[in-house]
Amino acid sequence: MSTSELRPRFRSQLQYFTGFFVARPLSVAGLVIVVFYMLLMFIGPALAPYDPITPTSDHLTPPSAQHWLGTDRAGLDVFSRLISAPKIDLTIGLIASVLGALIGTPFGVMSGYLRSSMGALVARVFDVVQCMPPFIVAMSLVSFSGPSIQNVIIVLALLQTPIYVRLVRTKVNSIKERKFVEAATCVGNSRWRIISHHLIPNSLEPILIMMPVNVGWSILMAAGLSFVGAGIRPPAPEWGAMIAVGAPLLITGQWWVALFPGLAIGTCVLGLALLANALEILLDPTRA
Amino acid sequence: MKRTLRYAAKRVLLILPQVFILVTVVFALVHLLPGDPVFARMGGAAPLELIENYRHQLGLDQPIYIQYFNYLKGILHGDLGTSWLTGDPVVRDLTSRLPATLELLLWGMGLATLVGIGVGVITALRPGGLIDRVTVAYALLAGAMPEFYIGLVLVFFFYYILRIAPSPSGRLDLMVAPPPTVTGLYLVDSAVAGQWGTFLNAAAHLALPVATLAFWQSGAIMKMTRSTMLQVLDGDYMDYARVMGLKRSVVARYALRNSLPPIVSLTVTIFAILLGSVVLIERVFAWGGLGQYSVQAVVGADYEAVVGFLMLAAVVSLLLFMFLDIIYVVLDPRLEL
Repeated sequence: MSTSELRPRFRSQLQYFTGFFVARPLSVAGLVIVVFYMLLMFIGPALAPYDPITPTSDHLTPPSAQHWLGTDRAGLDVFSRLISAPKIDLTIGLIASVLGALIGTPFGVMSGYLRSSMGALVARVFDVVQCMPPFIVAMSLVSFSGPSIQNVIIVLALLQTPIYVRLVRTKVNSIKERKFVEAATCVGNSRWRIISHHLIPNSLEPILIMMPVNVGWSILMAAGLSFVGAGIRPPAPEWGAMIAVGAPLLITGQWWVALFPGLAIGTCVLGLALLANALEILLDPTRA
Repeated sequence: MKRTLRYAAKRVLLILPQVFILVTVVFALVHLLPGDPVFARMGGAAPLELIENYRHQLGLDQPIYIQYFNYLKGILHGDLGTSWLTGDPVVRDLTSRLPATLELLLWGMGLATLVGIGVGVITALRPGGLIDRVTVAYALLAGAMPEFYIGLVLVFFFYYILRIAPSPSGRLDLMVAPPPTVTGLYLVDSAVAGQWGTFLNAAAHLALPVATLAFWQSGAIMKMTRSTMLQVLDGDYMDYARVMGLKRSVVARYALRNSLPPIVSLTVTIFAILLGSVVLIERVFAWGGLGQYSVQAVVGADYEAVVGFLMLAAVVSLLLFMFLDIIYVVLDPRLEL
């Protein structure tokens, strides 16, 4: 074989990425959806035709040219609220997931590599916490500490931490016996250096794959919490709160208040799930 | 058989320290979080003496280790405190509402499992077919929606537009009396008493919430069944079975039996998830079970009830996972105990 035949097919990392997405329309859809909602997170409120929390004089009007998705009983424009909501929903999702990973990773390393007894005890406690139905725990915790965005974020982060602890612990367990870790120990690296230079960077891959799924889960949880009144309360624009307001209206035929936020949640979570699938294959092509 | 029983016994005993950790964690969460039940209930403008009186009544003025000890003592005696909103003991509130939620959960889970495994097997035997692609799309979409939203959409469609479902206002029509209590499950009790009108009414009211739960999660079971069976069907022993001339249905049955461990594992996990979702579904359908009770407690600062419900749900969850551990060993005899 000549060397020209052995040349790799992709001339650049960029070509690899574009080649990846060209063959996978679902992954493209996921990426587009996530980017779209993240854009809305930043510029959504600016694009809203009406102020999302100030009532207009049109109460309970169906979708029209003036109010594209109609208004609710208080006169709030549904479309404006719909596109202002990602700012709250996605913020909650992203911060809660990142926080969960930040808290969970050290514990995972502790119980997987350092084998400390405290790490084992904490792992046991996290195991029990993970056994409890997450929504009920979230609802209870928010009820004790009060419904606010900060509390929702903290509670959701705490509920996700056991997932990351387990993830990191498993990964650390599987790589700590590998030769490169052994070599690093032999040449005299401190344990701290091994953790920061070898264990944690290698754990980033499963964390990165898990994160979009967890962000989606956080959004669903936050919506549920708002729906039962234990989360973000109206008039703050949040998809779950909008569904809560629209629920009694749906039964009497005013469908536009509750229908659109639900679709928004569905597409957003779907996009995140597709993105997670794409990341999984992107980061480890042998798993296709 | 004997080693299974020994493992089961070990696993059951493990529940005790788990429940102890659980009880302690719940106590820690309740007391370490900011939020004062006294202020939440009396308001900030109440006279100081009244507040201190109430605080003493609730036992919140005592040092924390004494509160913990009293809390443990109460639990050992089956006392979870008194509900602030209903005035009844929390334990009584919970047990009276349990059958409603149980009926919903059992039917919802049953339907989800039946449909999920059934369709999953079909798609595994016919990969790449139309049913296969439809179910993959369905699984993706259904899991991404909030379950209460699915419930609301079903109500809108079948109650408001098509007018074939009853209104989402509880387990029975207002005019229909519940059947004499045998188990608390209306379908069972009305069938036992021969009250077929009540039976049909209860079934009609069950239809939509059960459909919601099943629709939401059967997709996940379908996907797991499909992927596990495809893996199993690929195995050498399956080729051997086919080569020996066994019928396709027999081969499929063997494949399903061998696929069971991860499917059962997922099913039990989904049951634990549904424990939480039932809260939201009960809110949509005004079901009057534990879910609605807990929502009222959360919104109404009824901390005793919230804690009581949380512990009940958590213990049920622990028991479910214990059951799963034991069943898993029975289903997969290759496991090292």
